[in-house]
Amino acid sequence: MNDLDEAIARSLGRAAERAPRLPEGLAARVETRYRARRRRRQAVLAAAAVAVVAGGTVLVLRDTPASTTVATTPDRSAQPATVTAPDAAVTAQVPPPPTELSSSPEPNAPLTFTAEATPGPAGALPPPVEQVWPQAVRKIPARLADGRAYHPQLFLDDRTLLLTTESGFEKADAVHSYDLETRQATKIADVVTPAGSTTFASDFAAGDGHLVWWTARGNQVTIWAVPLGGGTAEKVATHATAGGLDRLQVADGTIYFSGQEAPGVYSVPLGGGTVERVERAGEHRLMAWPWVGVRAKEVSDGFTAIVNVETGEKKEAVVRPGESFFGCGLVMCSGSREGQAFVRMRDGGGEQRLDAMVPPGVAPALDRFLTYPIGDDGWEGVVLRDLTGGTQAELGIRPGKDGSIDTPMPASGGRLLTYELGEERIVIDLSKIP
Amino acid sequence: MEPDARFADFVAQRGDALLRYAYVLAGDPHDAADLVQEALLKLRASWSKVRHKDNPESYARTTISRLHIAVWRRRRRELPIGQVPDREHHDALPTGVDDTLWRLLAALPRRQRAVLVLRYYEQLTDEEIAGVLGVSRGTVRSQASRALDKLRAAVPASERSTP
Repeated sequence: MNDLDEAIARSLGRAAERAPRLPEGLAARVETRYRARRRRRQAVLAAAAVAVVAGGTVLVLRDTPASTTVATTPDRSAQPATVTAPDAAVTAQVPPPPTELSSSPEPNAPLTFTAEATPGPAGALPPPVEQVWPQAVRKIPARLADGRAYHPQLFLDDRTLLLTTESGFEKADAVHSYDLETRQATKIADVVTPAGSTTFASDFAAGDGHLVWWTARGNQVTIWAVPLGGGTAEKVATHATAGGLDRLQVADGTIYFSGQEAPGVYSVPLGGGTVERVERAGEHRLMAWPWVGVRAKEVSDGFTAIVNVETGEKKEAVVRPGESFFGCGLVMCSGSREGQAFVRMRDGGGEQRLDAMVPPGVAPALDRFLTYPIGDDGWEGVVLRDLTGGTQAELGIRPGKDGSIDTPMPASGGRLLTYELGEERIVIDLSKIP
Repeated sequence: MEPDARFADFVAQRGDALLRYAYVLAGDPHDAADLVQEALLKLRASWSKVRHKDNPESYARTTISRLHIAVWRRRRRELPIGQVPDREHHDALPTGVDDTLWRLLAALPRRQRAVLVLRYYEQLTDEEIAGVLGVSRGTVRSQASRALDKLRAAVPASERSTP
C-alpha cells in the first residue's frame, strides 16, 4: 500500500465512525413490512384461485369451448383490483411518448438482484406479457442471420429497431437498422473508435433523420453523426468535460447534451459548428429537451424540479420529510420512505405503494411503467407494471442457478424494453400498450 | 410485532456495521438508512434460506452495493453528494487530510466511489469487486485508476501522511 492507499483507507474508516446509528426498532419495522407484503401476496393468490374456480364453474354449467378458455386463462381483471387502487387521474395526465429517443451504452443492461439458490413456487406470478399486451410484444432471434450478437438501442419507428454490433466488450463497431417484420438487419454505418479512446461510442440518439453518439479520450468528448439512411459517420464537434456526457439528444436540427460531472446544457448544430452553452438552462441538466432540471439537496436523485427552457414553465415534485431516492419523469415520480417504495404524481396525488424491490431513483418509463423482480421466499420472476391501471404481466424471466435474477430496464427514452430469453430476444414496445 | 428472533438478533448485532458500510458508500446518512432498510427487508424475505446456506451479512452488503449503483447502471447519471453530512450524526468532525479526502471521495462518480469503498473499506480484490458490482474486472481497474488519478491530483503527496 502506498501513502494514498493508506490515506483513503484511513479516511473511509474514520468516516464510518461518523455514520448514524441504526434507528430503534428497525428489525420490528422490517418484520411488519415483510408480513404485510406476504398478506398482500396471499390475497392475490386467493383472488386468482377464485377466478379459476369461477371459470371452472362456468365450464361445468355450460361446457363450451369459450368457457374452456376462461378456465385456463383466469380473468386477469380480478387480480389488479386486489393489488392496488390506482388513482384514475393518473391516466389522463400521461403525455405521449417522446419523439426523440436516446440510449446509453448499455441501455438494456439488466440489474441483477441477488437471492438464495432455490426459486419459490411460480404460481403467484401474473400472466405472461404476451397474453396481457400481445400487441406490444415481438420475439426475434437472439442472433443476426450471420450469427453475430447484437444490442438493440432504440425504436427508429414502429417496425424498426436500431442495433449495434460490437467488436469487444461494450465497443460498438457498427450501427444497423433492423426490420422487425422481415427480420433483416441493414448496416447504417461503421462506428469508428479513435485510438486512445477511454469511452467507446455511447448514448446513441436519433432525430431529424440522423443518428448521433459520442466517444471520449480523457476529458475530450467527440460527438458523431450519420444520416439514418446510411453513410459515413462524421465528427460534429468536440467538447472538453470530465467524465463524458450525461445525456445527448437531437431536436430541431440541434444536438443538446449535458456533461457527466459539471452542470449546464450545451448545444451544437447537427451539421457541425460551435458548441454553445444554453444560457437559459443555467446550472440545470438536460432531462428531455426542452425540459431541464436540477436535483434537490435532500433527495438522492433528481429532476424533482424541472423547467421548460422554451416556455419558462416550471414543475416541482412534492417531496415530504423523510422521503428520498426520487426519480421523476414529466408527470410521475418514484421515491422511497423508510425503505418503502412508492410512485405518485409530481403534485403528490395518486400515490401507490409498491411492496417490491424497485430500483431506487428510477423514474417510471413513459411516466407509466416499472419493471421489478417479485418473490416471497426467493425470486420467482420479473413483472412489468402499468402504473395507470395497476395491470401487471410477467416477463418469463426466471432466477439463475445462484438464485439471482436479471431485471431488464426500459432503455433511456422509455419506449423499448428488451431482453434475451433462451434463443430468442423479446422486444416490447411500451408505447403500444393501450 | 415480534420479529423472527434470529433475524432480530442479526439486525441488533450487525445492523450498525451495515449502516456504516452504506454510509461510506452513499456518503449521505439518509440514503444510507434507506439502503440498509431495503436490504434488510429483502434479507428478511429470504431469511430461512440465506441463514442456512449463505452469509447473511455478505448477502446484505451485496444487496446494498447493487441498489446503490442501480441508478448508475441504468442511466450513468451521477449524483453530486459532495456536501458534508448533517452534523447531528457526527461524533467527531473530520479534520485535515481525512476531511479533504472524504469530500473528494464524495464528489466522485458513484461507480468510481463504489469501487474505492469496496477496495479500501471492504478490502475486496478486484475480482470480488467485479462480482459484487456485476461489472467486468477491466471496468473495476479502469474506474479505480481514474478515481485514484483524481485524488492524487487533488491531494499533494506531502499531505497524505498527515494523520
